[in-house]
Amino acid sequence: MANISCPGCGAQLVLQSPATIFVVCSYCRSTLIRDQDWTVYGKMANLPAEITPLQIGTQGSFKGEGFELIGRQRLQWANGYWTEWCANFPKGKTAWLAEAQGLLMISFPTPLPDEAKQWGELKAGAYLKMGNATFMIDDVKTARCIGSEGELPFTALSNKEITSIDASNPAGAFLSLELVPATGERRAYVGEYVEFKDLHLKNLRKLDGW
Amino acid sequence: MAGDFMPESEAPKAPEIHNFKCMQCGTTIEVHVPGQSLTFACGACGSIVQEDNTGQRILTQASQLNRYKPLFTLGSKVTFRGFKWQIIGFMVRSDAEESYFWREYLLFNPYEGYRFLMEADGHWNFMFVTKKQPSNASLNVKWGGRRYRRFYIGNARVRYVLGEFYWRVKVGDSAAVQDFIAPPDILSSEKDEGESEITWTAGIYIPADDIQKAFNLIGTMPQQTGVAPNQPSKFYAKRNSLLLHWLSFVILLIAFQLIRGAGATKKVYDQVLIRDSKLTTELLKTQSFQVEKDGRNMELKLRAPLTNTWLGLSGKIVPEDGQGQVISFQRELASYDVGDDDSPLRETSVELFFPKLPKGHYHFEFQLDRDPALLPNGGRWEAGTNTLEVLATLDPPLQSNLIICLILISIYPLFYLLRDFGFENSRWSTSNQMSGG
Repeated sequence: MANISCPGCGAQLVLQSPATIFVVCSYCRSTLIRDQDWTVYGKMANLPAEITPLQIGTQGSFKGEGFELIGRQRLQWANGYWTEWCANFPKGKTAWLAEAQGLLMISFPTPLPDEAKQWGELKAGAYLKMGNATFMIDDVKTARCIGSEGELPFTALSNKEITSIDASNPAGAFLSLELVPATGERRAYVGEYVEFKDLHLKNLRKLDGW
Repeated sequence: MAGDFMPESEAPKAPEIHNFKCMQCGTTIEVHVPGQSLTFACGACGSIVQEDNTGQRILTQASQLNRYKPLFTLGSKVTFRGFKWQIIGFMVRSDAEESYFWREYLLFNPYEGYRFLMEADGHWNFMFVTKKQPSNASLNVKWGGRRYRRFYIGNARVRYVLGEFYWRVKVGDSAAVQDFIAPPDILSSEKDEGESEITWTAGIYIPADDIQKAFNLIGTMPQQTGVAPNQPSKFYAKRNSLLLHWLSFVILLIAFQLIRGAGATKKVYDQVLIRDSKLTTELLKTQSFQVEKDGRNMELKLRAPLTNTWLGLSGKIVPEDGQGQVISFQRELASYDVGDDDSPLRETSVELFFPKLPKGHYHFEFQLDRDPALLPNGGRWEAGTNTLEVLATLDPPLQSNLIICLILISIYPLFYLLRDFGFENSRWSTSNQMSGG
């Protein structure tokens, strides 16, 4: 954990993860990016309304390991929205809890599969190999960040464009690849669909009428 | 601490209202799931509003020709299968020919996600989206450890929408659908026209009573007709235990017959007599045999190999000890390659039953008559082997009793199987996959 002082408003912010390089100040909504020091890159607008029981500070566990949600980015693509919550595990391990169309997925960073080094080749129906497992690409879509909050291990400024590739296998596991065309960043995550109750979540956001 | 990032959550706020006004008629359109719903259909004018990929709400269809009424109030909440659900969308779809219509309700819970409640012909299914793909989509698929049989391949066309949906939908949208069944479970795949992604939903048959009890109906429950694709058969549920019971009875019965038969049955006469086929009439007299106790039943089997002729048989059971009566009987054996009705006739053996013989010594006498019209073939009336096989058994197992018992204990299971078969027939009569049974 590290304490920083928001260069925008002076508020004391406590960072949970050593991997954090991007912060949205919860007081003044300044977007801060770590370079040598923390620099203000503008202001983050309020996120559009949505109904989700998750919030920054929600704690849970996955396969016996505790985590806490420390940040999120919200994305929009041609056919809807999804949210990626950054889950901070002990010892600096980071996972992503994605919420899309009423489904929850948890995924962990993984080395890029060989096939993913040539992004242009990746189309729906193509195969990706990860160790012994083979994944088929379900879709390739372009998405746009429409807001972020908390702390994240990469920058998530509004309107950042990404290419998101979802692949799955019959066992229900999925592999997702994320490319940021503007910076050339490539990331791969491997994970699975999870049931809400299986994450043993607490400190949830209270929802009106629910 | 994490709390530093959430100062808003400490002071409760008034519930946010996300409703908006219909661009066509100005009526308020309620939004229950902001941030996820992409389609909103106005309850007043039927206009359909969709969010485009920048989040702008655009009037997509200015009205809907056909109007249908949902059975539940949209926006209302219901507790069903352990969770609270808000009913947020209603859609009517049909096959491409518009010969078959069904209704779908979209249910939402912020913790559990979405569910689909489908109603067709008064039968209900409760379904959810699954990302677990079945083995391969052919005639049979394996999913979640069960084998599903393909029941239907066709198209689903949207006829009416009301409320909100997390995907873009409008009247006329068409999807290729496949249904697979493992009653009471159902597995469906759906592929929108022009899209590559296949969506799989899995679900279970819900008795209409459960819907009636859990939901607040604003109309009358639709009349249930026919058998639904994945309706569980109440016959099938009991079939295995019934067959097992039936089989146990049959085995017991046969075992009982075998034990009883082995103890008492006794052959008293087993000989092959030689007939003289040069004669038109002939008397054969057997050696004597003994019936040791009073009141025993006797079965007599007689067999003569014949070729295109008949043989008259006048028989007698003759007591040798001076007491008791002679028992007489008459039979005719015949064998023709072409009989009266142009089909072969083969009656070359006969079984007779004589109840309750007094004890003593007996012998058989057989008066044989041949067809006098038949010219002797090389001095013989018959071709082939000229024998008469005689087999007499005391206290034979009563096959007829066994058969009656078998029929009696089989009536109920048979009736049951017929009902089950009838049920499966009705089920598959609505399938276009021809793999019934």
